[in-house]
Amino acid sequence: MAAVPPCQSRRRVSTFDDPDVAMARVAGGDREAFAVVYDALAPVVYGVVRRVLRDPAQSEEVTQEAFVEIWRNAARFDARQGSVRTWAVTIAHRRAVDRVRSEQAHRNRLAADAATSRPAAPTPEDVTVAAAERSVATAALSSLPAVQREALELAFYDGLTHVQIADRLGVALGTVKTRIRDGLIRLRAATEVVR
Amino acid sequence: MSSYDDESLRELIALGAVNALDAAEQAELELALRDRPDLQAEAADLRAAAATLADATVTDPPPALRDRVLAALDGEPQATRPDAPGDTATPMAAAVVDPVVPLRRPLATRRRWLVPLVSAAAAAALAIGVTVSIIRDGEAPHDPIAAVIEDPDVLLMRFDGEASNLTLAFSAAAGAAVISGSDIEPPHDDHVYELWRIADGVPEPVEIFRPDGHGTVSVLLEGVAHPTDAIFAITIEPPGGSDAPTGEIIGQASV
Repeated sequence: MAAVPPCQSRRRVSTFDDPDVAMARVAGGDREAFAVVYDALAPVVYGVVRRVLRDPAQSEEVTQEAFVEIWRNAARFDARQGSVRTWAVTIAHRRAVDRVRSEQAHRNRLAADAATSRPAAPTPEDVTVAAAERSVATAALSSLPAVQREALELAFYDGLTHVQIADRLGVALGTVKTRIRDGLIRLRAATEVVR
Repeated sequence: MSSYDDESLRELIALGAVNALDAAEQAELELALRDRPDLQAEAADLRAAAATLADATVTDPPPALRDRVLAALDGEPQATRPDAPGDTATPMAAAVVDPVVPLRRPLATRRRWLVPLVSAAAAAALAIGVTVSIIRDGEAPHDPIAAVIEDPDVLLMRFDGEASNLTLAFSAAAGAAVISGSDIEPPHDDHVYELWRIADGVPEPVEIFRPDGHGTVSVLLEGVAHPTDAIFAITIEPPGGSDAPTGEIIGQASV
């Protein structure tokens, strides 16, 4: 995935806002660099955690845990394996999924779910900040065949395992695997085209 | 891993990229990937593709969270850079790094069954080559299996023969090992698999185990001495295991 353009952070605008650049300094204990990483990635990290957990308080908690983990393990970040953004999303998403698979969180989520079946509507502020990246992603997602998109959303947004997805959809495990893999490959291609 | 052909491994990689595997499957995937550096780029690619799904949910967090996160760094230790960060070189190299480990004989009383409990967070750590909060603020690791599997210097040994679906992961740092695998047939009747450590031709009993209802094995082995110069072997033994092997060796593994 392409590095995040520096203009996406609204708090500071300079080339030093690139979290991939800042990350190297975070490993050395540089808190200012960490703040740059936070500012650049907090919206995507919080957004995905919130989408999975729904519950705002838990989402903040998990977002905080994810960033603390990023701080602790900054030295283990390997730029050859991908961008800081992908790394941070992976860490945060795993933590959120972990949480949602626990019983209590599941109950909370169902309660929150009853109130809002979709993620919180973006505020005008969100839109200005995030419109660009959201629209790229949304366009890529809508280019997927519906069944692939559905399988990906059940996994990524609802935190279901492939077995649970197969149960939910009443399809074979192999079908779920194929849909998710084909969906990701198509998503990768679509994102590359749009970017 | 011999139990995965390329196609099923690729499917697992995709499922892992969206965290659609349960914790044990995720751990299996990570173990398998360690042997397949050629597939690690694909795994990274699909994780990046999955992150697109996160881009569609971008939301500004409450402003107060920023201060809380920055304050939370106080007293948080930082991991040191690995010797070869992200190097995909064979984990077997780890064997020569730390040859001296206190030899702790496994005691019969130490034998016990351990439920396969790899938390999703621990499995997560594997996938991205980081250590998550297994050891926080000096607390004991809450998940000893995870502590072994996520050790960056873990030493992996594959069994051969009929036991080729089983892997032995040894962590000098954790002072423990884990035997794990999937698609394992239960031994006949109430017989058990028994793992032996053979040094100088003398087999010592290490652990007995059976797969769970899904054919999965994930058992912590405490007090296993460093595998250098030893061979691990598996036999099928009567219920309760044996003090010396009575069955034929169905598979063996060594460094």
